[in-house]
Amino acid sequence: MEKIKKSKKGQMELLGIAIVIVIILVGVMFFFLFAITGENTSIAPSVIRTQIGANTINTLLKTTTLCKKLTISELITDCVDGPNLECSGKNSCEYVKSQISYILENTLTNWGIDYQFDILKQTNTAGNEFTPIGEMDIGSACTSQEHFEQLLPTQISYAKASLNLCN
Amino acid sequence: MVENIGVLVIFFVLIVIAMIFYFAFQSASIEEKQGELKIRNALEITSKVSMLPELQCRKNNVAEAHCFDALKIDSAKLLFAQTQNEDYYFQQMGFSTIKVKWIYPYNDEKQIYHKTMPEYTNNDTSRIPISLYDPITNSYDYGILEVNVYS
Repeated sequence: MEKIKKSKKGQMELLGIAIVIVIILVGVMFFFLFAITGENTSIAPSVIRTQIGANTINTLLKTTTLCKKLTISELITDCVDGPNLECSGKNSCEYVKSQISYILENTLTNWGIDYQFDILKQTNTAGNEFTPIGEMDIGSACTSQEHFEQLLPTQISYAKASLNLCN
Repeated sequence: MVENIGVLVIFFVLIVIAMIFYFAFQSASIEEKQGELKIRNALEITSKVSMLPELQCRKNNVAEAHCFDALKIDSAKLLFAQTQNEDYYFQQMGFSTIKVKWIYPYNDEKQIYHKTMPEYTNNDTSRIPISLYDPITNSYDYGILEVNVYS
């Protein structure tokens, strides 16, 4: 009789330990679940990238070049419509591409940011279809990116300056 | 009795191990937060400086965003360094070094503010592209506003 009582007591204690271990395991599981899948609340890096991207495209298009004191956006519109202008022995497309490449290499590339810059041309006047001008492609293609663009009215239609900052 | 004490000892040992893990994780998370606060501070100073009327360009009395008047830069530098203005600009810009760099069409650099923290342990740099307007030639150069914050 006493043997049975002792064995029952032992079983109860083992059950107690098992419950304690289960509770701790559940706690550890929750801890790791939150530690691993917990959302990264850091917004500063994305704010910096957004600021850099938006400012880069706005400042770039406003910049005055050494070609007839024309801005980069004016040269882009000429490139899309023509090209008609000539700068330092190059047509406006070649010239503006070299100037944009120089600026982006001395800023984004130096800061370790991969990018893709494109000029897009409106393909149909009624809709909003734009296709990239192949020769104006600068940088490397991104798999995932933050996108910034600005619409530029040309004499014939519209063009778009597009900047992707690769993640 | 001895068995009960044994169970309690194991229980408390497990709780202590869990707490050690938790606090180690928390301290890493606090360091991460501190790092983010420093970056935010650098960002805040960069935004403030980019909108200072002492530097900002104006056309027909309308301020242009992210644009510095190239002719204002030297006088702003003198203004920031004047003893009577020191406290005011320190409140705005804190312990930092602020530079304006010309990227295109030529390379140049001007330091407009400099106040180093004695025995600083960390410095965070924040950069944003800005236009540098020359009212004489009516042209916009491509530049960078670089803010180095000490902490």
